[in-house]
Amino acid sequence: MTDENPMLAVVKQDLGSKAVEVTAPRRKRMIIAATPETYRDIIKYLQDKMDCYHLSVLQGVDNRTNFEVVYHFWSDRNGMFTVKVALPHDKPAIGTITDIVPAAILYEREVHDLFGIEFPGHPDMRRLLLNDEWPKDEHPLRKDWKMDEKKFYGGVKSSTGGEKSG
Amino acid sequence: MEASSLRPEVRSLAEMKIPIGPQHPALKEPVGFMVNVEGERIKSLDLDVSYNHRGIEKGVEQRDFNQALYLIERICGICSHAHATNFAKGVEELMNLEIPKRAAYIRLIVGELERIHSHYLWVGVAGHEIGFDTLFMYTWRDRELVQDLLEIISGNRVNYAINCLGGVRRDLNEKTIKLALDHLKKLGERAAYYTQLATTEETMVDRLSGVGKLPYEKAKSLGSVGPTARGSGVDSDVRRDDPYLAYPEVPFKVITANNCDVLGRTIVRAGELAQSIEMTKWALENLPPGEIKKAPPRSAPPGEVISRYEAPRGELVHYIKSNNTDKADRFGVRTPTMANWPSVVEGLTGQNIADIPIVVAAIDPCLSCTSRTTFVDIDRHKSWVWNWDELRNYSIRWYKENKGIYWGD
Repeated sequence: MTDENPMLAVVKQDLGSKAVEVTAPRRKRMIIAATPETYRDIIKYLQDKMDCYHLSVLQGVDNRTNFEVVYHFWSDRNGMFTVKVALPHDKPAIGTITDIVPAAILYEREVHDLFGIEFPGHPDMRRLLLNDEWPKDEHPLRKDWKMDEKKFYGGVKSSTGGEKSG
Repeated sequence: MEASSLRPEVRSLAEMKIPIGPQHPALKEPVGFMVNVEGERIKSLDLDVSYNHRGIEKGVEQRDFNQALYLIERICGICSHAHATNFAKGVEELMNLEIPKRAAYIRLIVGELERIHSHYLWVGVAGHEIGFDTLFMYTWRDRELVQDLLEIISGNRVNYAINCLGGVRRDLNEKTIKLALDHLKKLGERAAYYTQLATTEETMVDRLSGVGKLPYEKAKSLGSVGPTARGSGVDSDVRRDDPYLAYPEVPFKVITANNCDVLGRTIVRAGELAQSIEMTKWALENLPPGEIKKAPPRSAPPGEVISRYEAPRGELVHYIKSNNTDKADRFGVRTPTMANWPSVVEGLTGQNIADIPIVVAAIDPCLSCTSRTTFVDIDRHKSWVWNWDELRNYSIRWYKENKGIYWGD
């Protein structure tokens, strides 16, 4: 598992100052830290030059001081490329990539739903995983999220006493 | 249900909107569809997958790695081993722990047996959805052989829990190996028969070809995975392209088909059945000796890992971030069904109402029981409710009357 990724030097040189940091934990894995200004260029570079036709998934991460959106692109030839973009904890937002990667359409909705990260430009931003009765502006995968006993989170309402979450 | 969550756009009086689900008896896991039709033709499709969010990602953050392993096993009842193995190998990579070779082989054997039972299950369900119930009976009978084997190997029929961090929980003995080889011989003969059926049986070929079209380019750009992608000619398989466990040593072929429809997906699964049976046989015959587990450390150093696994339904991705404790700081899952939803939308647009059951079933989704389908006729201001069985009966009747495809009562 400690074998080296032969593409590391190439990617480092091609991206230059666009990438904040490029590391390769092992063969077929590479992690590229990007900024909200450069992530689109990097994704286009991966598609055009590195043969990354497949978006495996994009996910959110709450680091307590900031959020991260993590894109995982797969290329049969060059392995997995992870592009990480750090976002401020206050009002996190990052432009959609659905125009260049159609497969992102559901994943962006999922991250929006669970982390409250906005994706301006997304054609159809609705809830995806949480039910319709889930309180607005509550995003359960945020580290500081706590369930409020008094609120109704969907499911069956208890007939005796107050509202219960199901 | 909030009206805006499923948003039909009715443009003319001839158009109808049809909500299907959220409960769905084909398989488990509920999902709601809002189908916009003009006569028989499906114009657009919207889906709602919000009915079964169980908060497992959050739950994993609050449990240590050992507890989390058994929670993750319960993400899916059909491919429980896929989830548990993918998580275990991810955490082991973070811990820099290499598992004994024999353990890697046993994980592979259980993984391939799981694929065999899952594909047998799918062939049966597909047969049922198109009214070919004889096929359903045959494949589910054969599937029992695999289920018995899994129970003998692991002690469990569904959530096998064969994994533990650092290896596997149970060893295989000579008696089990002999019994498994016996069963696999029978299963191999059956798989050959189903492959022949899927490619040559005229009625089945007629019913499945041209249904649920997913062109090669679309399969790639929409991020389809597994048999859905391979049935459209996308030559990708995690077991070969990003090998894990003992896959680099086991000989096998990646099956693809260029039909780009439900028939292609059927051919791929039938072919994979045969491949998986051969792989399991090979692994059982070449099982290396030695110990089956190593003691794992309690915590993992800070780091992140992206763990991939070829589940029966396609590429399964776990993203695990550790922070020097015994818990995962972030655990993200992307199941193959999630990746394949956009291809269902693509495959159903322009098709008949009668094709909904088989096209939805063709990605082998994890769906749930007891469905209600409400048909709303905008033109006549009336609506009626169909459950999935009635929709299925309608589908079978429609093909009988319009295409002459029928397997009898």
